[in-house]
Amino acid sequence: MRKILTAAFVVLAAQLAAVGAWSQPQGEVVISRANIAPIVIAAPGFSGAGPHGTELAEIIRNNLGRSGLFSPVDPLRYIDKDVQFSTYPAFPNWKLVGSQYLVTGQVSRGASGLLTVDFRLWDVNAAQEVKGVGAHFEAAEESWRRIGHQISDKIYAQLTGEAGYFDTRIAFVSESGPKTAKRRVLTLMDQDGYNPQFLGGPDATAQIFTPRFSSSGQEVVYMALRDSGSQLYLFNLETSRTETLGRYEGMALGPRFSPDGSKVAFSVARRGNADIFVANVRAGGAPTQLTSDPNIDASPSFSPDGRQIVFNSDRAGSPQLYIMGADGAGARRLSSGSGRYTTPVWSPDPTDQWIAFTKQTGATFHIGIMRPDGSDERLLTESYLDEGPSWAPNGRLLIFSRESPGSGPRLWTVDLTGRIIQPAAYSGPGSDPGWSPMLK
Amino acid sequence: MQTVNRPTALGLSILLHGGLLLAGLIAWPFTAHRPPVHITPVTLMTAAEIAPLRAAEEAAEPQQAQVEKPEPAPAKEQPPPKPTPPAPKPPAPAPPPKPAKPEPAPKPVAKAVAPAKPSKPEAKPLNLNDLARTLAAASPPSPPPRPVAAAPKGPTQAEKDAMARQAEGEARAAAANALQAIGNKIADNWNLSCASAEDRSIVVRLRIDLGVNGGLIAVKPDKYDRVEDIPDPKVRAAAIGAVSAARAAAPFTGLPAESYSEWRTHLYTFPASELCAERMRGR
Repeated sequence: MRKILTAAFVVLAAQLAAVGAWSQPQGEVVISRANIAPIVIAAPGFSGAGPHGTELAEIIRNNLGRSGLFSPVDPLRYIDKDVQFSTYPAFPNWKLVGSQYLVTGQVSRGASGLLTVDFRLWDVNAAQEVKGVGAHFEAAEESWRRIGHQISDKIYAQLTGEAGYFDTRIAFVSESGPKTAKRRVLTLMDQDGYNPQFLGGPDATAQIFTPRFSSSGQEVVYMALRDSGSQLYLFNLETSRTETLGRYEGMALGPRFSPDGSKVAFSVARRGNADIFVANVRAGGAPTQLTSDPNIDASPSFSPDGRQIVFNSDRAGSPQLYIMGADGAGARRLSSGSGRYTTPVWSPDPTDQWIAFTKQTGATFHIGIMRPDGSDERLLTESYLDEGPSWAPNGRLLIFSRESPGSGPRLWTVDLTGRIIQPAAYSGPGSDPGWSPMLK
Repeated sequence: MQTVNRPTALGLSILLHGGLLLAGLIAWPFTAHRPPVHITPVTLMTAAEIAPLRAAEEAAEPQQAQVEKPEPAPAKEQPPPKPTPPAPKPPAPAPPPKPAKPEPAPKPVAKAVAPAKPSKPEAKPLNLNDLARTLAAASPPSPPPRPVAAAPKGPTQAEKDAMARQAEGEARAAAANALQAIGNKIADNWNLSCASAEDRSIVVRLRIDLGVNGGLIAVKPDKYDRVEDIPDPKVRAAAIGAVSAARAAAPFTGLPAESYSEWRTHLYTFPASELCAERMRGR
């Protein structure tokens, strides 16, 4: 009897196993094509009694649209013009206008007078909220644009998998006046071109060059050129204080912070030679000389871990890119192509490292990138004069200055693929851009 | 109270379960993992077609000097809002069925590469005499069969085998076509922004369960319960897009119900990096 029961159990178990197997995947299908296209998103004006609801949605649409990875639906096409934050959206209406995702939000003023903003991101096809994105912000009213940028960053990060870059600023040199008496002043603006602040320089006679942010985003280091020579300055954005960074015989050029903000690397040109130095910002003292060959070594830029420095040198006859240890040891050539390579800058993304540079071939200039071992060189732009790239904090975008014959320099951006290239969101003349880290 | 004849009941039970076991063993081979079905790539959109970029002048209007303006206090972000239940009840996720609408014909799968497409399935019932004649014509000449007394009237074993092979081939072709139709429809709805163009291999595998009428029962990552559980942000973002494509593509109409078991539960692989790299090479 026991044998019979055991046999029956085995039969049943086998049958159950067979039935269970039906719920397993029957095979695999590879989807080998897709619409390589921007993500379509709608962002109607935020509801609520607070101010800036319409403008917040506009900031989000503009940010995402300018990234080239999103295609915001024109608000004129919306079927639902008045979307309440506290209710479920009418998804079929958003599907009808072709939107894949929808942003809803509300603005109110809290009891403390602070502006409070909530937002949610919806997957229109799934008719449900995208989890882990929606957030609640409180801030002084004058920071309302930053809330718009932070919401844009969250959406961008969730739907692309890349870190955002919208809540950032750009330091650059704005130029004015005739060619013979040009004035170059230090200028700051939000990455979307708003809130430009013309900070001038240490005095009215100084011409400003190469402003660069510290990793905290609180300081900018730049070079000021006068008839008497050049000097490096540190400008503190919180206190608005300006300090000199030592005095050097010759002309100090191209300063750039180390990733931890404790040092500044730069080059000093004198008697037809230029070498690279590092100064300790906090401790002070004499700067350390890193190169001492009889050629021009310039434009140092630290690796994200601070252990290496990329720079350009004409020690092989024409300007080429080289990498050395942060102590100046072990310099080796990086670039191998023909042309003149200058202004290298290391990407801040340690997981996907690139070095951006300016390259001149004949009468044409390019912004290009290559891996830190010199491989995979790509030229992203080509024009009469492109130069001085600076990375966005997510390492996916570069800002640079472009000049056309007969016109002054303008700021442009290009993405890592070279597909998305456009004028920066600032229509005035500008050069020497430096992108800030994410604002704190 | 009635008593049951134990040996009879036991015999019946063994017979029943033996039958079930046999059925299970027959079904087992069909559950085996099959090689991937590739959907034929079609021309990707060109850069000019996809993203007409806005001019900078559109974005920035006010450029007034705000010299030495103190930096406003940074916005403080707090944890996501407490989930306030929305006022009206959420609409049902599935669209209402349209019973009156006639079922559309199965989508043509001309774009898809059918794996070794056999003969086209014929609508008319199988004619055994025709089949026998075809087989006889196809087979090499053989010595005349010895006359067999009282030979059976039904199909021979060879005919039965041929019939089985044809039926199996037709079922496989129908299932393959169904899978390709599903894959094509998902591909039509899959928008890939290629933000992480080629920095690493981003591949998403989704398990999709369909109802017999082609409705979406469930879609989830192959190795995770929910998309939010995927730790890598780039893979997670790609998975969000792939899930959205599957949801947008459903329901899948015109699928052959007779081969439901073949397309009911399948893995769908979305090789995001590969497609973006192809796009990069073609730029």
